[in-house]
Amino acid sequence: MRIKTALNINNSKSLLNKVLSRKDLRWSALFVLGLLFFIIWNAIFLNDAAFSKWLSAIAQTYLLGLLSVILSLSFGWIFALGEELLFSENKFLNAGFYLFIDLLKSIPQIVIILLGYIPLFFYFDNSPLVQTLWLAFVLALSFANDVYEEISNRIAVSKNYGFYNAMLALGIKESRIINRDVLLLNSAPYLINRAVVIFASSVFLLTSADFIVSVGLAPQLTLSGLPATLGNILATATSKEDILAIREIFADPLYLKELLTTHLQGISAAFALVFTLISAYEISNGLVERKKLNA
Amino acid sequence: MKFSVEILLDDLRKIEIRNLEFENGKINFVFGESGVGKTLISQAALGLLDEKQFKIKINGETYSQYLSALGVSEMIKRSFYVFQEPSAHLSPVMKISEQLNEGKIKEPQEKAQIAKNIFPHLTKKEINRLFDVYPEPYRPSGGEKQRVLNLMAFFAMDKLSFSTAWNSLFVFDEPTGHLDVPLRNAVLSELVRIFVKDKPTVVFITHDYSIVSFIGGKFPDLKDFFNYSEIYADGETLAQRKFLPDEYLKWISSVELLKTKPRKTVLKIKKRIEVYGKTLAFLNENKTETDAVLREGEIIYVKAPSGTGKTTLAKILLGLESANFEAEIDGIKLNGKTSTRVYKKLIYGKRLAIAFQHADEALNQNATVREIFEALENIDSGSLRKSFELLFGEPLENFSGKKIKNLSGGQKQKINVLRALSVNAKVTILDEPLNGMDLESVKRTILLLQNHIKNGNSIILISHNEDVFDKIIPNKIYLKEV
Repeated sequence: MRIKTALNINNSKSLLNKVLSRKDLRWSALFVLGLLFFIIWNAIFLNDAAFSKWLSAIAQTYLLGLLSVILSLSFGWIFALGEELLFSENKFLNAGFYLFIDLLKSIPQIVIILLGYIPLFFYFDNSPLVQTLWLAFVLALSFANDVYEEISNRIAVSKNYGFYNAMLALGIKESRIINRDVLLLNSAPYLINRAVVIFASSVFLLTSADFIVSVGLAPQLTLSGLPATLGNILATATSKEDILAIREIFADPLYLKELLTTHLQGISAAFALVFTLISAYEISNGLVERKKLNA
Repeated sequence: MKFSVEILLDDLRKIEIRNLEFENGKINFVFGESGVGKTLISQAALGLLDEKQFKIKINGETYSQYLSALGVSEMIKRSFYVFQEPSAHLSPVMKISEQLNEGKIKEPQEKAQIAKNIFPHLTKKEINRLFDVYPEPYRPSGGEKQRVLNLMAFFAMDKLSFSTAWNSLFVFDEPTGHLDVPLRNAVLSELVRIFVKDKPTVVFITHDYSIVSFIGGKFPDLKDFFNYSEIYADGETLAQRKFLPDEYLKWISSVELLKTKPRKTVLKIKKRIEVYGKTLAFLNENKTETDAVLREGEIIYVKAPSGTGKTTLAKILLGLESANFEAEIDGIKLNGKTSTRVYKKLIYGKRLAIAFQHADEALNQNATVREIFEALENIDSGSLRKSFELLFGEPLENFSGKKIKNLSGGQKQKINVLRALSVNAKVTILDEPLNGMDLESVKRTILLLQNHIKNGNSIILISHNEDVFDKIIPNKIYLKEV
């Protein structure tokens, strides 16, 4: 095919048009703008102490989500590459690897995370960095199998393309073929999609686990001593009252004003969680549709 | 017939050609690199493209205006398109015989004769048995399906009368790509035999220039009914130019044997190979079984009819197909039990390299040209640049940022061949290296092969293109199922 650099066509498409026409980009932009709007709104209407706690909870939850994405992608990549290039060479190593993967698969994710809290209470010092990294590690471990399966699947699919064997037969290192040609050049949308899903799932699981372990604690405390997450905030009595206040709208619609100005702590924590999940769902769907990814 | 066609594929890619001309009442052979857009243009002319998928303009009109014009709609009714990939045309839910019967023909005997002419090795009973199947999934073979599709076109052409033939268009898009030379010639002969009856307009798209030798030699009296042209990239658009068969014939008669200085033996394959329950044997020029031997600085041409297993042989040597065989390459013994670790450590890229037949599959479509060559270890970048310029007539820098998927089929194939040769393995296997190339590229590739063996490297060459390779390679070996 001849390529015509149709500059006139290309130029007419502004960045804004591009963002608006692509669902994944549109929702990414909406997520960022929505988050900024929440922050400004809460800065105006929440009292200083509650606002700073809410902001810190958002930051801590997202930080753990991001670290979980980075670590789980790394674990999945190490497992898949190890399986492909290393473990299969030694039957004991191979058996050990599959035993580990089967074990990881068989334990529900929420259980892995709750088990991960135990060392936080008993063994670690109070260093927030070590504790945050440990929690991110536990979260990532619970998602590592998903990434490992995604990467293994991509390698298996790519082996059916001629270029894999063609490159191998030219003496090109298999690790290079997998890392560059299979993953970077042919699987990036799949991995980005997986990263979005892991981020949202991490936020949700972390919030759920923190909610469970925080029930009954004084509002200013967390069990681990780490900064509060959305789960800690939602577990407080004030937040629950805020959320229960939603029912008042059905009796008096004008109560909405009160809800959005005086019951903000619980409402905004719950809304941030739901908004994150919906945005991730739409971004992922948009990416799947646009890049025509296989399920 | 004259067409000016503009097809907008997406925001950035566009195929455009002005005044594409097919002479009425002639067989128009259209050559050119594969992938430049010949197929899409001809499919557009016959109304086979989806207007929802592409934005199309023909002769200044929108696609629906063009298709609804009286002359065009009448022409399309009487026309036929032979697809390059026959499975795209054959219905998987109808037996082949039922699909063939859809086109009525004047005389039933004539129908049987046409079938017999393009299936020369089969008896009438065998032909009927072949047609009594659904074309999915493994039977008939690619070559058989291609001939079935040609048969449909021949039946439709035979149905024409003098009064209807003038406004009909028969497009054959690479209709012999899956056939070996004798079968290709049988199809071509049949096409000419049926064509001369009512002389419809025929377009025969191909990159197989050796057709010129056959047609010129076999039908000298009909030369006025053959028109030859080439479609080529002219800047951002496509253009058509006359192709002079005499120039090709003059070139092919002047091509010389590649100069070889064979030294010590580098590869030896035992004379028999067992694969998938069948036995393949190497035969020498005297048709007696022999071991296949290749020496340093030598090129060997492996010849066999379609479907014998030439590509399979390459895969067996590379340990990509399991088979019972014995070979020795530069001191390393290979057989069906050689481990993958040995291949990865000692064979791939060092003693053996390959350019697989289909560049579309062999190259990562999302990689850039630079990335394709960067992946190779320890290559001499100076010599790569020289070879690239020899092959493309342009410096590597002009192409290095381009993605493979945006190149034409011929350009992809040249990169595929150059990548395999750049590795400088002791032996390089080239499987159909001229696939999709235009004549200029063919000439340049031959020069590249000459340089490669001059440096003491060896080549195993697999190809249907006997017209060229019989001329340039003295050392031949035949592969046969025994």
